[in-house]
Amino acid sequence: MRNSSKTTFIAFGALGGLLLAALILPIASLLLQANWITWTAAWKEEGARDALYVSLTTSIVATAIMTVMGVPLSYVLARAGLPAKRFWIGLVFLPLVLPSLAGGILLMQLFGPYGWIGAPLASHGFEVTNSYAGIILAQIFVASPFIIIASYSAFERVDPQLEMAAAILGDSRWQILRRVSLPLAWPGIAAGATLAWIRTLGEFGATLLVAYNPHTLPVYLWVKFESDGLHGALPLALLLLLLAVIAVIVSALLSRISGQTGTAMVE
Amino acid sequence: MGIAIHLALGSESAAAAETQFADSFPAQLRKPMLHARICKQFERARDCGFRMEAEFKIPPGVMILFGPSGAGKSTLLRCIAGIYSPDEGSVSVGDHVFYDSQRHINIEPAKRGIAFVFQELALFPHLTVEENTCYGLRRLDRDEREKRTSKILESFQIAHLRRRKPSEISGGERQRVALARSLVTEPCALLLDEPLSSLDAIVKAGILNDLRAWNAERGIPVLYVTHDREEAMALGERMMLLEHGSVTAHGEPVEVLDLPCRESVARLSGFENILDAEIITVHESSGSMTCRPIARGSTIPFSSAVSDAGNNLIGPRETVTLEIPCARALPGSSVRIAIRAGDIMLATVRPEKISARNIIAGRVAEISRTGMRVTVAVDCGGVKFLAHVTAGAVESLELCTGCPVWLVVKSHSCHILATSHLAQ
Repeated sequence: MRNSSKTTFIAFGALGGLLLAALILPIASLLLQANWITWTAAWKEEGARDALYVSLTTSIVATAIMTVMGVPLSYVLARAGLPAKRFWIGLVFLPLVLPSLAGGILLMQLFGPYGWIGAPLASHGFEVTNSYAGIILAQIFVASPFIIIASYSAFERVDPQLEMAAAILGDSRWQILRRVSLPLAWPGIAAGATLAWIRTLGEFGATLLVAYNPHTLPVYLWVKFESDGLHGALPLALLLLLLAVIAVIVSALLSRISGQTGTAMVE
Repeated sequence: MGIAIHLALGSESAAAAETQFADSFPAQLRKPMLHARICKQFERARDCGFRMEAEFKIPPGVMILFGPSGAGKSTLLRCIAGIYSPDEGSVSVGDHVFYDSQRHINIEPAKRGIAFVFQELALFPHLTVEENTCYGLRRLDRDEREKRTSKILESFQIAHLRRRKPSEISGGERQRVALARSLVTEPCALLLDEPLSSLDAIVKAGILNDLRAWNAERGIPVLYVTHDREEAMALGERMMLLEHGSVTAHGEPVEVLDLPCRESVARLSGFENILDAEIITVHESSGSMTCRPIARGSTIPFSSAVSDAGNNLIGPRETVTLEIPCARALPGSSVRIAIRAGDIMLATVRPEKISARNIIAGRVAEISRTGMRVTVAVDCGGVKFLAHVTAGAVESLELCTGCPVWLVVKSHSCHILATSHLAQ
């Protein structure tokens, strides 16, 4: 028994180790080859700073919009007893499996200067494409599933009996949401929001088509790679990696804090 | 399909609920009764559904709602609380009508002022004991809220836990918090859905005492669901029996449990021996009848013959007969009898000059132990009886598998569950 389980673990460890190496090696080589002085200097170039600014502002706004609209949507999906619930959830999943370039094409078709929505907006002097609005639109399209699915399952996990108990103790539906469901679902929602934020930061395909300008960080990375090759793109890749690390840390902190803030949210 | 769940929750609750708190029931003065008539069609995915049709009045004090699982006890409670809507019927406490299908009244649960303690308690895991307890007092001013909360925490002996979360206290303490949270709102009725089923007897008794003490002052109707016989005996002054959605018996727990009308309840209330028998003779003058249980399984041959004029003694190749109380039945009709294992005595010597009418010879087929209790299975000419004895009795009688014993059963320990071909 012991020996056979050892063999299993060794075989599985070897397979898993290969995959892990494929994940880690590129990151490790980037960090090992990093020329910190010249690379950090490259971050200070105007183009890079602008791209960072555009990426941060748009991703934060997009995450805020997704949270404000996605949490109510997921609550409705979880609790309203909608007919054909699985259909709606499947619909939410679609952007997740659609290549983001294809997503960009769809958005262009609708919001482009000749699209159903884009054309009337353009006639009023509001261009969706090549603007902050376009970037945010693309980010929301690709990243919303993260927050909707995460908060949907967070609400689903809240014991319906707790909500019944609150109802019997005199709470309206809104009060139940505010005092029971939301404080309990908060960790899941926060995790979903952070994931969505990371996804918006890295969003490239749809953004490239909908809003090539102003450059977001991934688009700028592409531009630099096209013009200067690897040498020009590496510093930006490192910057994106660092942002991703920050996002992971924030995510971990948020879900830890949210466990404690549940209490503070009531009353 | 399942049971349709209708959570009636409103939004415009604040103002209306405030008035409800303002004229909170002065229960001590009025002692209102809970009156409910619930009709609801059950639809189950697999087995065929049944229709709940129950009507009852519950005066102040504890009423036990007893019944096998699937009888509709929880659904009945939820209909009263307003979590589910009945198909038709009415629910009221005193003059306050909460539901009336004819008058199209259906007050949402938040405004009924009926407290409900769930089986799983449903304490809010993100709130402390104190926050859980004062959850329903949001609309009171701060001083009043704190005063009431402190008082109820004291009376349920959980004041020292007020800063703890539900995950940090014991099961018994959680039950106390759940009760305190429900009662602090000064409800007009209390519904308890098997809240103590997971506790041991001592903790349970303590909590029940506190609940009684609390209700002694207020006198609200308390409907307590359980399927635990001992809990029912300990708690209730009165009991209702619910089977397949209908109240089939009510009275004192002792009466209801000792006169089982249905086999399911008989098993539930501790009748381990349920026998089918054929009535041989009816002695109307002495109020008894003789019946012959229908044997199941194999027979162990008897070695010693016994017979006596006074008692029913069973010998070799003789069939077992039982003397049971008289029912409205004719000889030849069949009868189903229930006997508690605890009501059967065992003897290794044939008892003499004893009032018990049934003395049956048999052989020990099996001895099994659960905790302090020993169950002895005795084969009497193919009819198997179970008797409960103590471990000490097994030792002093030197009982072992295969040894001959006499069963001693009083006629009145034989309860008739059902008879076929009822006499006119």
